[in-house]
Amino acid sequence: MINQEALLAALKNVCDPELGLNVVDLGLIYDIEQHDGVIDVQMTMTTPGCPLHESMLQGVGDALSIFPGVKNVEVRLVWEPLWTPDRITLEGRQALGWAA
Amino acid sequence: MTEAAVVVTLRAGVPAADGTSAPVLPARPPVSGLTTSRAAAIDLPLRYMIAGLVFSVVAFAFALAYAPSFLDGVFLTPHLLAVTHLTALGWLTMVAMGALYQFVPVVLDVPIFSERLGKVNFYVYLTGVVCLTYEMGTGRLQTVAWPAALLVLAIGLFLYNMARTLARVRRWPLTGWFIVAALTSLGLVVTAGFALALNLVLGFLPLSQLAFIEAHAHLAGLGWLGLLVIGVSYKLTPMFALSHPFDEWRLGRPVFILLVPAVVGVFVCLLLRLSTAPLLACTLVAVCAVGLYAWDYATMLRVRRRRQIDLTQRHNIASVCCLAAAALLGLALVAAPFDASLHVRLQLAYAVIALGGWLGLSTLGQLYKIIPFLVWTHRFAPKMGRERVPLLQDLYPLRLAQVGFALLTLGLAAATGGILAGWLPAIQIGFALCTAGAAITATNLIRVVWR
Repeated sequence: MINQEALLAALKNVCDPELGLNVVDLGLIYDIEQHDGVIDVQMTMTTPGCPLHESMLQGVGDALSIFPGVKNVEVRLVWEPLWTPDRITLEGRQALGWAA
Repeated sequence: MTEAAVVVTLRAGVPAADGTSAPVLPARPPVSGLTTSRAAAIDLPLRYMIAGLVFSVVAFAFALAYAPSFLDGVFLTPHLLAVTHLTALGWLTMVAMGALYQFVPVVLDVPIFSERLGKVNFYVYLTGVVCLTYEMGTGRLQTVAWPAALLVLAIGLFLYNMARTLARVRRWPLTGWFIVAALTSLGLVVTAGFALALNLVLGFLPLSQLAFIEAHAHLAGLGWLGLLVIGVSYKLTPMFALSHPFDEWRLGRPVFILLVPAVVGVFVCLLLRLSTAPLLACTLVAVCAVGLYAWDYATMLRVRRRRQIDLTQRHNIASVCCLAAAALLGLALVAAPFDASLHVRLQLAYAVIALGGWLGLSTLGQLYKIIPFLVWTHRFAPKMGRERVPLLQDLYPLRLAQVGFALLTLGLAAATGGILAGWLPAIQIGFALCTAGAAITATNLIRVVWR
């Protein structure tokens, strides 16, 4: 099993190129599970019809596939619960100029 | 949890910690160059956008060259017709068609019916615009029918492609309804334009030529381009600004319900030269719709979670201010009696504010998102997660973009003021600034493509 913190740290390399915020601080990552060398990620987008969604999913998959022992990364796009800005972390809010 | 259709599965070929090798499979599925499997190849929208940017410079350069025509006391001169069509067809409609080829698949979740048709459509349309504006600019109005026929063919192909595309849409967001109404208007606009071109030779129309031209122009500006710009802003503004909570339907629905009949009403009233009362009523409805939209736009900004007002939003804010000014000026033109000379100057100022200010600034502002986005997804998306990639705003020099925006807004203000005051130097300075601003913007954005 790979340390969850290490996975999240890797995902912080995947940034929304419009907002300049990574997927973790944006609160887009809902769940990460591991079993038998498979990492299963559930994530969302800030809005349906986001033109970046496929790039973001690919980026998340690529970021996690670097870990030794990982055979497979599955990235699932989900819409429930719907993303809201409340999911943005403190660091993310500060980066957006939005007081916590 | 509800899952979307997209599930990306990646198999890594990295040796396991225990020394055994995982099967070596492709590290990721091939990326076609755009972010959604629905999206068109980037060269389809980009060719329209690049051509539109070039036309924006040409349109302002022609306006500068023909600046004295703005004080001739009539607005139906060949030179002003050429400038208007360079702006409306060459710049704004060209960009709008390219944007729809990119936007519709992503937002409405349908692939373009035929990308090949879209490319054919581009060359026919480009030829039509160049020939039409050349004939107009050189004063040969008797021969505009053949380039007008080319434009009918090009826009017919575009509308056919869009109709076949939209027929597959399953879920209709607010923006989708605006797009359908805008495309319907475009069909009527091009039909009316072709009828006008034929009428210059055959003289068959039982209606006033002037009335027909005014109706045609309003349907193009408010119906085709206006509905499209408003509809697209309902999707893009909250998305980029992270506006929350914001319900697009709350005021967006009344805006649509008011604006579409108002557009039809203004068109019919102008076309049939109805009395002032029905035209005033329709104009008031349109102004109410514009007011609601402006209020809703302000709400999108007020509830935004991304505090920075970026370059695109600055363009949009200036654009919405121009829309409000154009709406009030339009109302004044209908409601208040002016002497003939002032009336024409107000009409020209109204046209400059509406086309250059509202529609033009909005279009250029959105291109600062769309073109970097297309290039980014093509060049950098495959590297995301593997290495550090630039942000969209890193793809162009921001300072230069701000200079371009400042020149455009100052230029439009000066040109409009000059037209209203009847002072030629201000018009010339204004359009010179606009030409410089458009040239900087076009260069800045076209360089992104070759980055």
